[in-house]
Amino acid sequence: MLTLTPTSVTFATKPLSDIARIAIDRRAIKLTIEWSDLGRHATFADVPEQEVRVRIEQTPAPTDLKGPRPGDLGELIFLAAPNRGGVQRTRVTLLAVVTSIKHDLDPTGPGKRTLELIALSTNGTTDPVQVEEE
Amino acid sequence: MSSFKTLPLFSSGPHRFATLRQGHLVTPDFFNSGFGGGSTPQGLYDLTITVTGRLIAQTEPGLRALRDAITNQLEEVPTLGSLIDEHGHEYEDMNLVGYQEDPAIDRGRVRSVRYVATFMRT
Repeated sequence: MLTLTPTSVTFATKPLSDIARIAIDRRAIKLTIEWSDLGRHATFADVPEQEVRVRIEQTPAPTDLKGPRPGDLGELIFLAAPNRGGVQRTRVTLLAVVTSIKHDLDPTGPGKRTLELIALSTNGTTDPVQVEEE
Repeated sequence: MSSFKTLPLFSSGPHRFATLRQGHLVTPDFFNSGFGGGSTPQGLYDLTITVTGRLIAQTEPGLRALRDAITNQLEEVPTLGSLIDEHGHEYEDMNLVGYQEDPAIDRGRVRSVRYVATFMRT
């Protein structure tokens, strides 16, 4: 899931400004694959362990020293819309822990800060990413 | 379809049959009150077949039922039965002597667990 120019972005109830895009990536941490005695192709696959990672790009990078830090836990909330008109907006909510904060130091550019988070499920079964139509 | 004593114990998921070492148990004479480098065959190993696979169910109770169906065949006084593989090959007079699962159940789209069941012709 990739959201361009999301609006009303907050993390742990604090607003995050100048968000250029938010990407939500999913991948298998544990992949089970099985073959039978009947042939060469796998006949079963499942993903019993997976992770949901979130990347938030801020441009220009904020200069404040009180931003999120690795280990911070909070609810990330933002509004996503397919266009700037904001029609058919969806509210995305997820509980997440900050895992890294990186700055792009290109002197010719406006600077960019990338926050990386890992999303958490409340009970292990519920999908960490909740999407609601506004 | 594979079976043990006509029961389709492993049909919930993929599984593979393997034949373990066959041949003589050979012991060095030196350790049997003898001397020198010679050795003596003590007899043939019992035929041992392993079935390695994955039990698959939609629910936790369903998975438990699949496991129970196998472990119910672990008997204090073994009764022998036929073990038949996916290709219809029959191993007669086999006895389920062991069953071991991976430490954790995998809970993804379905509930599943990997296992090894060991059969011997004793």
